[in-house]
Amino acid sequence: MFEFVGALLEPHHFALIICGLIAGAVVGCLPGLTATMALALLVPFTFAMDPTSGLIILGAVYVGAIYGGCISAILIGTPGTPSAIATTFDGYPLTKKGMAEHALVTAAFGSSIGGLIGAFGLLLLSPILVSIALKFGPPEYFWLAVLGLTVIATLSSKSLIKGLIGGTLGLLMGTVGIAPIGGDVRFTFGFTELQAGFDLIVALIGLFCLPEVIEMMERRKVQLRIAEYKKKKGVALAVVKQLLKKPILLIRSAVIGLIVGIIPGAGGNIAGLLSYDIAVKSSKEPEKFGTGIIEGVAASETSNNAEVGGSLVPLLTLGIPGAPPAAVMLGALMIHGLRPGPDLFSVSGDIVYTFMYSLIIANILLFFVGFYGARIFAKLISLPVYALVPFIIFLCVIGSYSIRNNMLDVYAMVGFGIFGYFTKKLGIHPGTIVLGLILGRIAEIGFVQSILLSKAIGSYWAVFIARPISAILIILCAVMLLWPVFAGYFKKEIPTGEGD
Amino acid sequence: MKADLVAGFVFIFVSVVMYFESLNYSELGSIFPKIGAAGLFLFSIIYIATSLREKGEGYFSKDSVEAFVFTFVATIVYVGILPYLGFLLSGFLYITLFSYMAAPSRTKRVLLASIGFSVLINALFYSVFRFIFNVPLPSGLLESLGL
Repeated sequence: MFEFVGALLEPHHFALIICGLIAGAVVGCLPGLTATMALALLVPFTFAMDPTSGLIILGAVYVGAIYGGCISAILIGTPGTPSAIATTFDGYPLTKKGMAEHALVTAAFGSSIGGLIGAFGLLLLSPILVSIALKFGPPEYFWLAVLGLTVIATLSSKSLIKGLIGGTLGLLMGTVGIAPIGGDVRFTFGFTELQAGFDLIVALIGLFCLPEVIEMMERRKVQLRIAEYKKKKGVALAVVKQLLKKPILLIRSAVIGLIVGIIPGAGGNIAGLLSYDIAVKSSKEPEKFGTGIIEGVAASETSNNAEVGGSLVPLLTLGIPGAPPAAVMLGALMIHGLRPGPDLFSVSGDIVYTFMYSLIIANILLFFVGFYGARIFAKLISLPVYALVPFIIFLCVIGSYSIRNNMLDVYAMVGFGIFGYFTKKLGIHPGTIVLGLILGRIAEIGFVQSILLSKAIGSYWAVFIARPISAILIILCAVMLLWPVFAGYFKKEIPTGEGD
Repeated sequence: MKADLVAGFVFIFVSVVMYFESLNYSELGSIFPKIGAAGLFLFSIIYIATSLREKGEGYFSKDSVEAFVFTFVATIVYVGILPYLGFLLSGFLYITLFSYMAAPSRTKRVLLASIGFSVLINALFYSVFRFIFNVPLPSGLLESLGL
């Protein structure tokens, strides 16, 4: 162990981790540029490096980019990466209260703790955790998606029916394009550009960002700035002290992130949303979530950074990437002559263990990068609305364009923005639509494949219900849906910030 | 209430169109859209019924309509001219004119500040995206002028 840690303490490895974290955070905070894109952009730069250095910087970029997504989620209400969707729910209301620094420090601390637990999970539990992930078949994926959809109930406590409409609209949007099973070209209405379906990032930018900036414009006569940023002493210490009093919240969120990360295809967005939902349901004051409390930010950010370690478990042990950024990592490993899989630890153990320890160090350093970065980024909100709004729209345009270097994505983003503005005005939370869009695709594949399996073996019960993990997930779905009844607060409202 | 009713009927229309459109697809390809469309239809009926009972609230004030029209017209013009004028020129015009027009007072000082802010943002992001991320941003007019 000491030899691996010793290698990391070499100045150039240390510098690579810090550079990787900053580069990742900068890319991650720009709406439209994801962790996957940050890694893909950086892979060519690692060609000239030795495998250890290359993997160290890529690991740090991955950690930094997932954290970076929270910066725009907190400051402008638009998740920089899909993993930060749930961070907007409390992060942006905190900014509106003038507590952007509190939110950013919370995110840095939560991300750091989550990332550390995820990295330790990767280091110590890989063989056990991967055996659970391997038991996930189509019915389990279907029920996992349904479990994720129960978050709609939390996001739409003002009107469940509007939440359900939002979720269904998202679900139907997810069906546009070529069917994942059967190959039908659906709902393209003659537009060949729609065959690939709606890009999630484009939808995310349009639905979250444009309605928000229009609301800023609506309020500009009475509120020239989103909030005033005033440098306060002792914010970081106070926030950290407050968070340390919530160890269960942090550990539970990290464990959720780790487990979701291990399941291939689930991703950090599901981890953040599930963790947020469970944090609301298990809180003694659920009504405060969505109004701007640090617990909401911590739940989401702890979980999505723990997902980083989780997504690397199946990658390193089986060669299966747990999330899109891990798929780029797979390519990077292969470029450097490493073959992920059971033999990786015996053939290239020194490189792999050094990489795992580098993730631990990267997550410790993340707190300091986030802490000092928070003060710089928080100044952004001091811009007057009339300058901030065109700047944000400019970022949205450049972000959506750079996904595929295509103007159609920009037009689609504006279309989603108009749609999102009207639905938000009606009281439909954009999170419910995005949730339907993300989980609808996973649910459809799982559902249709399960039906095929059921027909093959002649029993729907055996496929959908009787499998142990499916049964557990069904029970969890029921618990999530009936939780308000159990907790006895089903008549109370849980505001989620949409109408504030 | 009126907006809720209109939205409810629009959602019903969408669900009906999607349901009948999905009848053209194979069994496997149509299961999920049919379930989604049926769900949207059902939820929309309940939505309309509840909005008929409720007193409702006004969603769109004069300020909100103004803000929507101003922001979207400006944005649509921006994305419309972007392929022709190029990223740099259209971005410069958009940020300068938007921040000047939306400012509480349109003074010479505000105009100069808007121009300075726009130049800074455009130069910074153009350099980062063009030269570090290698994104081929549209050159538009500058390319046709051989610049």
